[in-house]
Amino acid sequence: MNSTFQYVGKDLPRIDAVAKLTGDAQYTDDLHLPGTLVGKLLRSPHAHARIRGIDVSKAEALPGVKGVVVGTDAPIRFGILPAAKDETALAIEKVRYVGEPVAGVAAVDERTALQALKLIEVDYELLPAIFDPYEALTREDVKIHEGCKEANVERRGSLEFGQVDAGFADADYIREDSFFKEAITHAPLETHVALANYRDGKLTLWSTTQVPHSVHRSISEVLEIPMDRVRVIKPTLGGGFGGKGEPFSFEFVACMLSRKCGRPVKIVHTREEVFLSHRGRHPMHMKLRTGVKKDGTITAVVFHNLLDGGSYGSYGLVTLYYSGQLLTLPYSLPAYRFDAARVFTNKPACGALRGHGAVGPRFAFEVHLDRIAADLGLDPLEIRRKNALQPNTMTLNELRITSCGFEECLEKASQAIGWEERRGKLPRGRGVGLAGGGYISGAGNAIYYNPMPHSNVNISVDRGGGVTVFCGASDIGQGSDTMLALVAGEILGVRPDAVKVVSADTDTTPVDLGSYSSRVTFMAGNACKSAALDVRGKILAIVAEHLGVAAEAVRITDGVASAKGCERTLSFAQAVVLAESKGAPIFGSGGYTPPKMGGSYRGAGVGPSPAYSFGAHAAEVEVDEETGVVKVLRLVAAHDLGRALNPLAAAGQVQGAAVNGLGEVLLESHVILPGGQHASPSFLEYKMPTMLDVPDVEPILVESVDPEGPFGAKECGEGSLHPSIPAVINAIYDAVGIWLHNAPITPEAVLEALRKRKTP
Amino acid sequence: MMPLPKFHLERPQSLAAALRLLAESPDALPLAGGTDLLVSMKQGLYAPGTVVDLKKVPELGSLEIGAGGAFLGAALKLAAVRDEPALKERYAALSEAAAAVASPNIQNMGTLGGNVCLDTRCWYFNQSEFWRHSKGYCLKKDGDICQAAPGAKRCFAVFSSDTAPALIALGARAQVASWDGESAQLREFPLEELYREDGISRIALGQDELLVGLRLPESRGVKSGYLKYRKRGAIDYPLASVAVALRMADGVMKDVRIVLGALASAPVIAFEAMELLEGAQPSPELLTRAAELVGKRTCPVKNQAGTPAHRKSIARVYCQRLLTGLAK
Amino acid sequence: MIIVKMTVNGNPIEVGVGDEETLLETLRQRLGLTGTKQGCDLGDCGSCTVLIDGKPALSCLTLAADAEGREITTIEGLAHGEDLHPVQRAFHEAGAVQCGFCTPGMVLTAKALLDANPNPDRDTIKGALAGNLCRCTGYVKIVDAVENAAKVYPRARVEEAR
Ligand SMILES: Cc1cc2nc3c(=O)[nH]c(=O)nc-3n(C[C@H](O)[C@H](O)[C@H](O)COP(=O)(O)OP(=O)(O)OC[C@H]3O[C@@H](n4cnc5c(N)ncnc54)[C@H](O)[C@@H]3O)c2cc1C
Ligand code: FES
Ligand code: FES
Repeated sequence: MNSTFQYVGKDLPRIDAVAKLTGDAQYTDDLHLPGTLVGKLLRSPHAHARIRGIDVSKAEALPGVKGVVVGTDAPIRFGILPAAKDETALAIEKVRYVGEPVAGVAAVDERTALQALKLIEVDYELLPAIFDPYEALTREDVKIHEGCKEANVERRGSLEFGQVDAGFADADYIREDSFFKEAITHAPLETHVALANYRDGKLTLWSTTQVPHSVHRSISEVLEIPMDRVRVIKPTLGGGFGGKGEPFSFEFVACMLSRKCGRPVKIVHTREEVFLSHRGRHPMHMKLRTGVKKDGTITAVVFHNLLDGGSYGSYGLVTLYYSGQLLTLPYSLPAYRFDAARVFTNKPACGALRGHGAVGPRFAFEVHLDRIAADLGLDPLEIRRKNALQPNTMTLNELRITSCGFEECLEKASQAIGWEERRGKLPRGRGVGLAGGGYISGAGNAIYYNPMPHSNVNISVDRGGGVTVFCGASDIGQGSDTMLALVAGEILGVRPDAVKVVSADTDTTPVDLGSYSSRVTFMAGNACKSAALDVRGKILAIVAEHLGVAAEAVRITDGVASAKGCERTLSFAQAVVLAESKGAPIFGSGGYTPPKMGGSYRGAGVGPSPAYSFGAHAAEVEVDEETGVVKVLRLVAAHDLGRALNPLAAAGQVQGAAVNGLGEVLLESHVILPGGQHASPSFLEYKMPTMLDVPDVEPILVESVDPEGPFGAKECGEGSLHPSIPAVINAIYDAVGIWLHNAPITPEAVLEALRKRKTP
Repeated sequence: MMPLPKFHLERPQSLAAALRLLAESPDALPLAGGTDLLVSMKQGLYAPGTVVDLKKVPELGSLEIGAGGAFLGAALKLAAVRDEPALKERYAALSEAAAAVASPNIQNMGTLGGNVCLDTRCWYFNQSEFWRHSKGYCLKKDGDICQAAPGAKRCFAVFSSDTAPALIALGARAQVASWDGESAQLREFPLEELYREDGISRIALGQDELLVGLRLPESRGVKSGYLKYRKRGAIDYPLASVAVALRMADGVMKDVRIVLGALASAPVIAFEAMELLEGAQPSPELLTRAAELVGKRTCPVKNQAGTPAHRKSIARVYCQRLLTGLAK
Repeated sequence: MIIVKMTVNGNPIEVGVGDEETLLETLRQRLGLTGTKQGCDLGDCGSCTVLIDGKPALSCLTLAADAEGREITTIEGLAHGEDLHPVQRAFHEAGAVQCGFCTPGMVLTAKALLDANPNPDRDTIKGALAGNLCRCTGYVKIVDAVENAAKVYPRARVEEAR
């Protein structure tokens, strides 16, 4: 099948790698405009306080300070979700977490700007602060947001499908478990940076954003500048993982300061400020109850989830529903009830992070399932096979499953780890474990309602035969520019490494909704494919006419057009020149709109996706029973990505995601101390894995060839995170017979569980 | 960026010049590799008016390894200590400890002297000015209470040097120079005497004093080792560490030295365990008993990652593992 | 102000720096060599790694004044014109670059390793690069790249010397 492709399915080094390897690539902080001022944010030291007044006069008087802005300078609210526009560029009446920006300063240099911050006097009236989500559920006397009807509950969500009570009545065995998944944070190596330049009524913002389109809209709304006078550009981005996936205070403030001072202003976050801004994984307090038949067939599931949302809405409502909706992958559930609440606490807001919404629930369910298997004496592989979701089915919550390679993932991962020979058979202290997962390939519905396609691509061809793809999608390090080049190259018959990509610039590229929800390959890929087909059609017509053959007979291979039975050939460039000489420069465009999908119940809008990826990971661990330290010796990550457009890039995505998961299960926690300060606001104390902490993840790419994906492709950079966490925990059980229900695990928790097991 | 506070940089070319500068400016601090001090300065923990950079002081750079022992200059890079074959062979614990500091690239910068004179560390201290202001200042910097152990009269910041426990286990002596108004005066004393069980005034050096180097006794068949517990395989400071040195003679253990790191404000010498083992034949039971005594020597507080109880139990396990490996 | 004379990527340079200026500030802000990245500014991540006299060091914890008389190599100084250094080439081909923010520090650290030890095994590579954090790749392809570079290294170096 692959042989029908010229470039798809072959390893393609990134088209921007050389620039990144030589120092040529321009990240936002590498840009410099003459006369740029340094912007800095004054942040709240309090977790919850009323702002009685702000006096900036001393700061303004400091020589070298060119401007100071405060919340009332831009009081219009924004937020990534239309239903949760609860933020302002700078805090106005209240601060709700330690680190919330309250004022911005622009000065001639960094030291002056920092000194100016110290001169700003904010009169705070301290309010009681809430850090515990259970407390947030009931404290009517402390309202973090006045608008909450019930205590500090932002939203309750519930879903019910099938006959849940009957399902339990039908079960031979019922098990209940509680789990806790701690927050983690994105920790991209590049900190957040914005460079704003307001000139002549026009604003240009270079920003480290995954969502130029959303930032464009929000800047225009909040700063009250028409959208056509705002340009947002995402330069080379040093990693996002969701942490740059929504508009942030610093972006508005850089623009406000530039407008006020009439000079470019750059704000560079320190590493600590990135931690303070957060928007990472929601801590989830989860309860699961599942009924099964003796043979392991699931009869009903009930899932409770309490999400600690932190101080603002962010993506939280989507997180809440994802956490419930996506639990129906990758096993078929006949009856399911979900109850959840997202509450506000006085911590930095939680939002979207690689694997958004499904990480906690997947960890919980996969461990829960292994416990059921253990109770019933079933093989964890068997119970997964038994319940595995099948292709071309509908889940009970109306998620439309088309391609599905879950069973193949299970087979391949278990085989690679040596499941049959090793599960339950390794010497004490060693064990293997397995877990599954499934994820969306882009959200079927846009974040805000609009009639436009989710992704659009323009392709122009220049006289030299050069192809340029224009797309609003953000390459955030995941390689989407290279993917676009590959798709365009495949369709047009030109080498992908010669295709140029202009992306993520709101002036020159057509809209794409952004890099989140694993949507880019599927959506921008499809849009690019259709734009390229448009261009190809135009070129073929000209070539055919010139060669005197039918358009269908023409092939373009490596930039040369030929036709069967015709001796003459035409280079791609010649064809373009020919077209242009006829007065029609070659240009094509295309868009992608997902099909109508999903149910009509409340909450149905979150979860539907044009395709779902599936995966299974198998881990081998070693547990030191004296120290409690767990070492992951192997991790096999089988992932059904539809088709590996570029196996090199896909393997890299799977490895990166799986290691992120290993960090989450072994090391990382983003904890807020009583008082609201971060327990670990540095790369020293926040334990992101180093090379020595993780094994060489072994990726297995499973190709189920999706009917609607570009060349059959689906997502691969997020879903490949989920199963690694429970696979490790299930392997620990195999090694030493203990179950851990909190992630990350700690050596302390391992020892405690071992002690309990010895003395029941 | 986290800019360094303004200071005046001095780069003396001799030990005498360095000492004079320090003696004459009471707000001066010595700087070696800078991998500890510059971090603290960026976080606003220190703002010396003058920084006395020691990199050009030739007297601190010597490395002599001979039959009678070794002398290691304070300015030696950790990488040099780590890679020197003679040290690896005779003083394994030291070279293992140097290899365990931070990461290889930091070992190219950090010095042995800086590691021995390392500042003590605490969750509530090693933070930015913003953080400390938000949380409340602590005894060690700007505050009047200990945030880790409220009610405590002293500071419990932890001494987390990797090489110090190894050096003490190996019987190192510190050579210190002080300024008498005209010239440098040298003196030597056991390294353990450099430290004080006090997170604030952690080392017994005056403003006009510098560590010149460390003298190691002849190795005489001593076997030694160092084990460090940390969350990650690199970058992290120790949360607990153990250095052991001993000699086997006619089937019994001699000159046993056991030193714990990162569990108190100074390295802890496990005298009870050392006494128990001295002159005894190693047996699994005996080594277990010794390891248990080691665990009793300290009571860390919650001011690092990990629980204090676990850090202590790690010391016990690591001590037993080292003893088992060395007492053969 | 201190006048510092140093060699940067083979070019002799004289530059005035502040007493409290780090080498990272000098490289990025005064010399416009923005290939050197700043991930934390506190010595924790390795993205600011440069070679000082051939050895990797963190430029965020190095005083600019200390560069006096030294030879500094940044990522901009590795390729010979169009020809990538073997480590760069290997990173490119192995897919070891994703967002690229850790890349300059990784590449320079790897180059120093191979200069000292052209045949490291996988564990040695991991040990040497362990202070450089990467959030994107899961590290596997980075280690692959260094291994691949090592395979051609002695030969590539001979070519380079010519
Ligand atoms: C990310 C990171 C991780 C780290 N991890 C570890 C670790 O795991 N283990 C560990 O031990 N250290 C660790 N360190 C700390 C540090 O890198 C090492 O301890 C290093 O050896 C310090 O040496 P230096 O020369 O850089 O010290 P400097 O920072 O130059 O000095 C340290 C202190 O010693 C004083 N001093 C230096 N030389 C002398 C002298 N000759 N006489 C008197 N006083 C002197 C200085 O005034 C200063 O107070 C880490 C640092 C970082 C940034
Ligand atoms: S920027 Fe220097 S180590 Fe992170
Ligand atoms: S490639 Fe992004 S941090 Fe390494």
